Amino acid sequence: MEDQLNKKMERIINKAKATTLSEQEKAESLKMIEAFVDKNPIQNLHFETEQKSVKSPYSILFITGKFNAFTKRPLVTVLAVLVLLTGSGALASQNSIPGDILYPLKVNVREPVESAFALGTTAEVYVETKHANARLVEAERLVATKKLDDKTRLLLATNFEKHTKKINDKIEKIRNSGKEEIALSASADFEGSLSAHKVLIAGLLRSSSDDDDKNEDLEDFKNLLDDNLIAISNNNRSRVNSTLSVMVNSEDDDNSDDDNEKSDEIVKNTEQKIERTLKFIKENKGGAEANVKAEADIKIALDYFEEGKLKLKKGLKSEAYQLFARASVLAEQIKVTLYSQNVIESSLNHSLDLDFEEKRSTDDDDREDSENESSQNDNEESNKEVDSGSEQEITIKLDSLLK
Amino acid sequence: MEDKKEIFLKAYEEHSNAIFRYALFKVSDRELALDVMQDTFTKTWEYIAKGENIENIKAFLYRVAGNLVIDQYRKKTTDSLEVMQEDGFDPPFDDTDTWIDKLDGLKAIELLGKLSSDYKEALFLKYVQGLSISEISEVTGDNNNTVTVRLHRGIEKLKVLFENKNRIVE
Repeated sequence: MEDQLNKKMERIINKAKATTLSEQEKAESLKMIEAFVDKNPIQNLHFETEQKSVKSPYSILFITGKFNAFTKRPLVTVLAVLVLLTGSGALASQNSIPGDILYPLKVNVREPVESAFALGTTAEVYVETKHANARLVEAERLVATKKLDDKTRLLLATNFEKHTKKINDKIEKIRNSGKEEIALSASADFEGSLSAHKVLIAGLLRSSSDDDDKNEDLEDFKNLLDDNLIAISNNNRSRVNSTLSVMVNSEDDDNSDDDNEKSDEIVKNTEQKIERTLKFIKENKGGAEANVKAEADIKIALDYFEEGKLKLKKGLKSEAYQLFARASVLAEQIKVTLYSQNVIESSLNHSLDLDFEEKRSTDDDDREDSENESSQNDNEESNKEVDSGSEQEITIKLDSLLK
Repeated sequence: MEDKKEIFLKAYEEHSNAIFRYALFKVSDRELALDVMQDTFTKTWEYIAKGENIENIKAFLYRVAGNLVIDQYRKKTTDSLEVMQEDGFDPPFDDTDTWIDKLDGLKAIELLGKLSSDYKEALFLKYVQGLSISEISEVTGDNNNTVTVRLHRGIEKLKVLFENKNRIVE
């Protein structure tokens, strides 16, 4: 009986095994894949270092785009990087926006160095998310201070798309290495950040369109960002869902150690994200109104988290993971919103200060002009006044010297 | 650089049939499975072209194919074998075994894919694709113990399923 059964199963399995591509299908697919390979050659990142070239005696001081110095002169490289990362120029460049003198230092030196020093895919995706976030904050600051022009808009959009592509690739890499729970966490961070900016940009554009009758640049930018953000958020949502379904499908009835480890990791990651956001709200010195909203929102995230834990206890993993993902996205969204609001606010204040300075100097000039006019009208009287004024000034100076 | 291309094309020669079969198991549609197989190789090449290293290309191809199916080629929901039997689907598990003779490869794969248990993936990878336990654990992301348990229980489930049917027929 047992033998007969095994034979039947074996026959079915052999039938399945015998299923292959036809010769024609295999050859045609190979042709297509070869064409793809030729069209997409290997990027020559690591091989260029082998090319012979005459080196400048000062080359030791420079870090090239390929980071040759990293591998050949570790000490010098570490020092150079420390200077780049902590030097006053680099630090000041951190808050620069397109149009500032230090901005190229930020995007061409500081950020690539940060990316190069991120060890492991998880750290890399964190750094890329940070940089993508920076591009959006810059766009928001420019919109808020009405300095966004066509050229800058294109520059920011291109750079943002580059970061986005890298983030997607890296999350995919993490997923393909079997670490779904980390991919999920990184995905939630990115989605939270995007959701925050979507709301911020829409708000900024609404308020700026109240002031301006029609600003085509802003409209273009809004559309571009809207399209990008919607597409990325949707991609991210489907990725979160598919990652969840991989995890739930691969789970056993009897909770293997592996599954429990992944569940524990997800619970821990979500809890940490909420805690970080709570701390951020507590330390936030921005507007009270923003904090009240953030506190109300984080309570919702906490509710999702608690509900998720209950579902997990009941063995409803799919529902639990969905709730944890929602809690994580919301926690990140709150943090990014508060941070960005603060940066935009300070940009606006700075810009108002500058406007005020400019206005005051213009007012002073006007006042001087009118004073000159009146002095020309009353020559004698004014000469006396100036003289007495000069005397007074000299007396004060002498007094202060004698003290 | 040429080495990487050669290794990749050799991997196509060695694993394209297996990846196609795996895709077929996942999507139950020959045309779709062909697309998944081609996409799996182009995605993998994109990854290599970026200068990334792949330690085990076989396991990597399986994972990419699995993720592609989840992301883009969601399988049409099909009923499990048990449900189909309840609804009147009655493969004649008789002694003559003519139904097995009539079964073509695609139907055989579909039949395996219709087992409702969570163990079908491990069973398919082990017995149809011939992957070792550690290779399966690389593909599914589970540890070796989990894979072993799944295989053992999967076989038991299959036996119960076939045995019950046979008893009814007898």
